[in-house]
Amino acid sequence: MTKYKVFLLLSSLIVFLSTAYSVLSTASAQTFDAEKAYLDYQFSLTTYDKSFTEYQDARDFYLKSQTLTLKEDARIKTVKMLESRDQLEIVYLTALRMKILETKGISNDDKNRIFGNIDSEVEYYKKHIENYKDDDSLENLFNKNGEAESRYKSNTSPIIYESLFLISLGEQIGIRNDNELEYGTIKDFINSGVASGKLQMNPFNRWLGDIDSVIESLKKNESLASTQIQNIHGQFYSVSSSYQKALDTLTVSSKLLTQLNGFLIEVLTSIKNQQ
Amino acid sequence: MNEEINQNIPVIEQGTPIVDPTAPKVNLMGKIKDKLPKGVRDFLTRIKLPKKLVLPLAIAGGLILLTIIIGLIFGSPDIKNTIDKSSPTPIAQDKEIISKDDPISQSEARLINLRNQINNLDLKQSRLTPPTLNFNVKF
Repeated sequence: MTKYKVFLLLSSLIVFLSTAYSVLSTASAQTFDAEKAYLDYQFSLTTYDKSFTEYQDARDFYLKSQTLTLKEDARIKTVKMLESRDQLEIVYLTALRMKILETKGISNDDKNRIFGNIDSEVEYYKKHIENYKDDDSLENLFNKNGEAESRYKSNTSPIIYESLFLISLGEQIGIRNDNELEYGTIKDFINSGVASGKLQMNPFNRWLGDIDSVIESLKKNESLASTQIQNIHGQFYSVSSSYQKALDTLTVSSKLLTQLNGFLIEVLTSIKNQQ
Repeated sequence: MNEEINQNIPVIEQGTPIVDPTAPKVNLMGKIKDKLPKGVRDFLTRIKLPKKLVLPLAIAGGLILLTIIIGLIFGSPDIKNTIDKSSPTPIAQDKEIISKDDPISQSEARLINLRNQINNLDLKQSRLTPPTLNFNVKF
């Protein structure tokens, strides 16, 4: 009997270890970051799409045969769909927030400003989702749908597109900063090479001037795009046209970034060839 | 006299292991138990476990242990490992790089990496495209 007791002890130990291991694994897997927020968004999107299809089917059944039972079924499906739509907004805005948080080229001022806007939207949908009641009449549900629609068009949509713009702008600024860092290193190579007599300043002096011009153009473009996107909150331009205009400016910036990077590599190659 | 004594001593053939029939049988479980602290030994003595339960428990324990070992060996790697095991970066693939120790080549490698980042920029942020919402809810 003794060996059985030892077996029992060992089994208990193994169960304990496996439980501890699984708990620790789960804890580490649940780190909330932009990727996790994105996956949550995908999940909520699937849930909303499913509930919208169910709502559509129930509505169509009712419209074909207007019985009380089918109306009740359509009403239940409408509540579910509207709730999942508000939830989707919350999760999507959170995914944008996390992406902005992790994009290194966005200034802290811009981050704090957009976070304030996103948070107020999330707060709105959290409260709005609580307004749906299981026994809401169809008329009530249509009214609440109207509230959400109005909020989305006036507040949420501009904030969404401004967030998307900020992410792209931040990525470009981050890459420009990294290129400028390398530019500083290259200038050090040239200066030390010239000082030791291994390099001649000509043609580097002119090339560096060209590189400075490209950097200047990039900074101007970033500033211009930041101004253009603010029109998204104005009354004279539509959300889509303001967003597209700012995005066009960033497209020009992408070409300038490619040019800057190409120039820097070219200078490095020339330094290597002269040494 | 000596012959009598020799007759009583069993003849041991070379290569045959000596087995003392009176020696107690070696019990592994007993040995493990002896090494356990007194409190644990007392606890084990008090436990009365039905014999039928022992084998399933032992098998279950073994399976769990096996699962942990397999999980540790073949389980999904964490982020750090993923980065470490990633395929060679474009920096390493580029034939322009002569030596990794050369500061100029290092700078060039970083610039090539930045070039790849520029090429991969997605200004529309396709992954985060806003969901298509239908507000036409009325019937």
